[in-house]
Order: sequence, then C-alpha cells, then structure tokens
Amino acid sequence: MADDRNVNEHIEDLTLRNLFSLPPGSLSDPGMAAGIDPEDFRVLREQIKAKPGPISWSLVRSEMAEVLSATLNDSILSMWARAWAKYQRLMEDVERSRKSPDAVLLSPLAEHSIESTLHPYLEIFWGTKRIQKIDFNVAVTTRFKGLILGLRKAQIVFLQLAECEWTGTIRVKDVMLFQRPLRKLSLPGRIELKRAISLGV
Amino acid sequence: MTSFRPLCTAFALVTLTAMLTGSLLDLAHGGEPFSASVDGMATRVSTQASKAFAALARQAKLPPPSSGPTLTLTADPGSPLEGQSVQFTATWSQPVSRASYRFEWGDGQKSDSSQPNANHSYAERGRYIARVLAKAIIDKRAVLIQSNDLTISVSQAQPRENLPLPTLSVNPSTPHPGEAVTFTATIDPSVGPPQYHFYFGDGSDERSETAHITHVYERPSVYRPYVEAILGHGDDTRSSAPIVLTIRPQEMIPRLTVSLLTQQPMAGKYVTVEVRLDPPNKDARYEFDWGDGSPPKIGAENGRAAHIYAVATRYTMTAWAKTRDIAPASSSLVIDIQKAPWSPSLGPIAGLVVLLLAAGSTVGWQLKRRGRSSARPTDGLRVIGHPDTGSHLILRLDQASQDLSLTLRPGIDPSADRITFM
Repeated sequence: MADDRNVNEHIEDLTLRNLFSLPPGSLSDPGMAAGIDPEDFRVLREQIKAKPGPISWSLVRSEMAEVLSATLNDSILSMWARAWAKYQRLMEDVERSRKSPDAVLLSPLAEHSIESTLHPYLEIFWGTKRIQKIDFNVAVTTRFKGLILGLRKAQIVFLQLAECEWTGTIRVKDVMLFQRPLRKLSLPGRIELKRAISLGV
Repeated sequence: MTSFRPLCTAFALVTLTAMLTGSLLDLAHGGEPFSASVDGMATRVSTQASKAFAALARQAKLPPPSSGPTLTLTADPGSPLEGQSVQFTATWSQPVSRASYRFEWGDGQKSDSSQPNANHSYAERGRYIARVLAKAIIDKRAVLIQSNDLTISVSQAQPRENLPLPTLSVNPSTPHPGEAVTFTATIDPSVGPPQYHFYFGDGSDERSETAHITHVYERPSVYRPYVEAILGHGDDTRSSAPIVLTIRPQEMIPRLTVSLLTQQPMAGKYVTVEVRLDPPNKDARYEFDWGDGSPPKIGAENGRAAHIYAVATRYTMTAWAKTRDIAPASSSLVIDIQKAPWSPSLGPIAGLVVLLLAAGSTVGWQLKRRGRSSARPTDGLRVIGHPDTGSHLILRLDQASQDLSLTLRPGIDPSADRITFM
C-alpha cells in the first residue's frame, strides 16, 4: 500500500481534485486505458471532426480535463459529513450537543468505511447546440480505523483521527480513466476546523 | 319440563341442560344459540323450552361453581373516549377447551366469538357494564359461566376538528440532490407523545418515534412533504399541511471569457473588451485589472469595459465575475498595445485615404482572425461541467459498542484532550 504524501492543505480545503491529483490537461492516467477511448469520447471526436475547420482533439480533451477537474471541487470533509449524518448514534450525540450548547461533546466512531459515488457530467456545446453529454463515475472509499468527532451546537468542530486510508477511481462507463490504489491519507491527529460543519439537527 | 321448579334446583337444571344442549348461554338471553357450537352436542332446543330455561337462568343468577373455573374480563383502556376502540380480554382461571364467548357490551350490543378477546367502541359517553358469557368443555362437561361485571366509563371525545395539527419544518430550506435534509415535526404537547409518519413527497415515507428525521432526495424537483401525527397509539391521525420543498439542481461552474473588441489597440486610445459569463447571471459584478498598475475598474455596461493604456507594450489584463452564491470566475487576456501612428492633417482627401486604409486593414484582420479561430476549441466549442454532491454510504459501523477501543495515533493525547467515551 502506497503511503501518500502528506496532505499539506488544511483538511477543510482538501477537495476530490486535490485527492486524485489529476494530471493537468489529461483525461486519463498515463498508460491507463492506452488507446482505449470510451465510446462517448469516440462519438464526440467524430462529431468534432465533422465540424468546419480542424480542431485538435488533444485540445478538446485538454479543455474537457480542465472542466472535469473543476467539477471535483467538493470538499472531502463535507462528503464524509454527509455519510456520518446517516449514522443514527452519531445523530443522537448531535442532538445532545444541540441541547448543551456550551459543551464540546466527543462522539467516537468505530472503524468504518465511507463509500462515496459521484456522477459529475460534462456537456459539450458547439455554438448553442449541445453535441454530447459525458457522464463520469467517481468512486471513493475512505476507511477510518478510528475517529472521534468533537461536537458543539450540532456541528463538528474538530476531528481526531487514528488512521485513514483511501482509494478511488474515475470512469466513463466501463473505461477506467484514473485509478488510485489504497493509500494512507496523512492527516494531523487532531484537526480543529476553521469552519464548523453542521450536521443538520 | 315446562312447569317451574324451586329455585334451589335451578343451577343443577341449567347445568344439566347445558350438558345436553350446549346452547343455554344464548337461551338465557332470549336470542339464537351461539354460532360457535360445541361439537358433538345438540345446539338447539325448542323455543318453548328455551324460554323456560331463560327464566330459570335469570332467577338463578348463575354463580360459577365454587370449585369450577372463573372467567375474568378486563379492558384496555378502561376509561376510553367516545368512539375509541377498547380491547376486551376474557381470562380463564384454568385451562378449558372448545370455548365460545358472548360479549355483552352494556350498550345494548353484543358480539359472539370463538376467541377470548374482542374490540368494541362506545358511541356516546356514559357508564356501561360489560360482561362476557362463555361456554366451554371442562372434564368432558359443558360448562356455562359468566365473567365479572366490568364498568366502562366513556368520556366525551375531543372533537376531531379541535385536535391540534402537526407542522413540518425542514433544514436546509433549499437543499441540493444528495444532501441530507432534516425534517422536524411539531405538535401541541397536550396531545401526548405522538408517533410520526413522514411522507417525503418523492414516493417514499418513513415512520419515526421522534420528531426528527433525515432524508436524501436524489433528483432536483419541487416536492410537497408532509407529516402525519399518530395520536393515542393509533386511535387518531392528524396530517400537517404539505410544505413546498425545492431541491435545487447543482449550479454549473460559471466560466468567464474575455475578448478584445478593439482591433488595433494603441497607446493613448481606448481599448474595449467584452466579457461573457456562462451561464449568464444578471447579478454578476465584474471587475477588471488592466495589468498596468491602474486601479481596478468595477462594472461592465452591456458586458463591456474600456481602458486607455499610456505605454505601448504587452499587458495581461484579468476580469472577474463575482456573484453572491457562486464562486467567482475569472479570465485573463494578453493585449499588445502598439504605438500610436503618425496622425496626418485631416484634409478631406487625406481623411478618405485613412478611412480606406482602416477598412482594408479591418477586412484583412478579420480574414486572418477567421483562419485562427478554428484552431482554438473555445471559439466554437464550449464544455460545461456539472458537479455532483454524490451519495455517501457509511459501512461496517455495527462494530460500534459501549466498550469501543480506539487506537490513537501519535499526536492524539487522550488526557490532554479530555477524551471521554459516551
């Protein structure tokens, strides 16, 4: 298992884009799906070929990569929070913290995983006409060996992490574009949040 | 059998008749025999005989034999409201077989059953005496027995229209697909602790013991969720008015493009640029940094802004589009400012020549530009990204328990951080 580089950014600023470290201007990892373009890409390529004037396919891919990267701007922490909000026992603690607004309540979570699935998509327009829509499937699994959430007023104000590792893929239909093997996410043991995250109670 | 006997013989007579017919219970009350019959025994006697036995049974008041079984009738609730369903249960003091029951509710109605429990509701307030009459086989004998009299006090029900209605609130008020939405039901506490049934408006619903529930909508749309308060353990339900909940689609990431309108930007002349925000946003505020050290310009009338560069050189100007809700978008443009040409004295002919030269230059520049533009994907091609907040599942948390142990990594100091487990 690869040991990821230290995450220098504050966890609140860590996005999917940072996590995947997408190569700039590229729609797949080097060597990944070598020579295999998803069908959607092939169709788009043919459509663009048919337009008047030559447009470099590499420029189009680069443009798509840039926009795809921009769609992965969701905060990792907010993703996790959405999953934790489904855990009844945590939400009971959240409710207690709401009723005791002056205290910081510690809510431990045992070893668990969070499976996140996102479906961003790109729309490609020629002039005002949409010529293609490409759906991406982004899957991220995060494993926590142990975690304590500090709660105040129904908000997460800090985290204490024992160990955290993650793996993820980005696909178009069955074609893998990016794959990140299981690796540790090096985060500080205790993370004070600059912006508390509401858990919605 | 039609002549009367002394009352002291009544009990024995009735018991004997019960053994023979298995139908005395009904006859004692002047009605038809039980529908639930005792197998192997006659279930009818003549009408004339039945009247006689009925009279005897009434006079005898039929206490249960002291050594025989007893039958106890209980009710839940014992003090119901008008129209509220009451569950009656008859309990034998010893095992019996082939039992059948007649419940007399005290309001003029009765019910026959082969089961020792039955439900009944009283239409009007008042005090009612309920009892159950049963027959059963004990030691191969048919036994007829009457339960205790049970007084049921029925109170006037609160008119349904006076029952409080629950209200439903939601947080956040305009969520996105995939975002956890918390609903909170509120109702006048005088009705007691209700249960709730939340209807989310997307075809799904969920029952809850508490007033809070979390739900995730998958698609953007307008939904009309409501909550049903279940009062008095299901005796009544009251529904809130539906609320209008709009699940907003994810905003597209805005893209700003800047293009140069001035064909030959020159020092000392106005240079005009045009900005275009995609998707358009009428609330966007534009700012321009012209890259020459001058203060930024704020605002773009008709999507255009103009500036005068003093020195002929290459500048990189940057434009920003800022809106209240969406992250700012920016775009930069490199502008080559040329020296202003020598200006001839504008006599009529010279002016015409300058105009012709300018027109020729414009046509040439346009032709040149057309050839270039096709090679740039952004001229005809636009790519718009749509992010997704996704769905997020939490797995394997069933291992959590009170004696949870957590292996703390270096950097965590339980004592310093006052970690306590709940």
